[in-house]
Amino acid sequence: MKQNTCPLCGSKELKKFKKQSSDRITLGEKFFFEEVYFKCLVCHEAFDLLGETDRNYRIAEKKAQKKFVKKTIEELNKKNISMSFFERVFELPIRTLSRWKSGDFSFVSLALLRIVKTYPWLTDVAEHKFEEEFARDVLIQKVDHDVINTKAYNETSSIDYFFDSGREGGYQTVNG
Amino acid sequence: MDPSYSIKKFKQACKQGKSKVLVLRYAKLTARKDFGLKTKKEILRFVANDGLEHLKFICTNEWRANPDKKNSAKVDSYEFYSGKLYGYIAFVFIEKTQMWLIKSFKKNENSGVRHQPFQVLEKLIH
Repeated sequence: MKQNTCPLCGSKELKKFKKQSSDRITLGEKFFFEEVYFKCLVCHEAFDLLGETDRNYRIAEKKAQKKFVKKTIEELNKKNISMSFFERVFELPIRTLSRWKSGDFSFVSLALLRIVKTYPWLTDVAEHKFEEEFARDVLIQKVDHDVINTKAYNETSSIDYFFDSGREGGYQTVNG
Repeated sequence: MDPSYSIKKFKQACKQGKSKVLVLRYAKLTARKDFGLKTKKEILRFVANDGLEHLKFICTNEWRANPDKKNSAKVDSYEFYSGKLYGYIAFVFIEKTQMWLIKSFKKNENSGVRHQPFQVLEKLIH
């Protein structure tokens, strides 16, 4: 693609624009990057002609991801989910999280950290080899603890509704 | 009404990459905001790898913003799903430069079949 030519109409009348933009990584912080685009003064269409915006985006995103990984591992540590425990239960090589903390991580690493950050009790499930019955029991206990004990929750009707023992494979009704 | 272009050829162009397909700035912004596709490369890979699920042709219309007034061009519009997200994509093939242009890539503002839970019952009536 020629740098000074509009790819739509072939005009050479292009104007370059720069704009500070921002985005946020999932469960992480906002980051800023420079958006660079060209606008054709003839056909009035705008596009990232040279891919600069995408490069700037990726650089800023990577920095934000590094911060997220470091912060999340530290947060999990405070919840007694140590790096070695994490590695053991998820069957990762030793020192995997140290590598992640130093910036050597992948998108899959980010996905796993997000899941565990959101549901830390999954480490218990992982420790029990994701055994179905255990997983279900942990989930029920979690719901019982987090949902049923909230003020807005109607104990009488909602407990029976949620634990519908009439459902196929349903759980035992919990009363109390 | 038939599409003006082959969707297969469009996907093939997306597979070939940046040199064959342009994405308008606004389409890129909405692709990021609505679908989390952050760069042009991600958008093209998404299309090339069948990210446009349940793709359905809507219509083909004259490209009104066509800068080449001598040669008309058509815009093909499609609706699609990505999981529960209902989307809209529109693209043009520019003969002059032999390039594809993604004009729109965004959340679909109309209500799709999945958002009309009773539409399927229509078949029982007719």
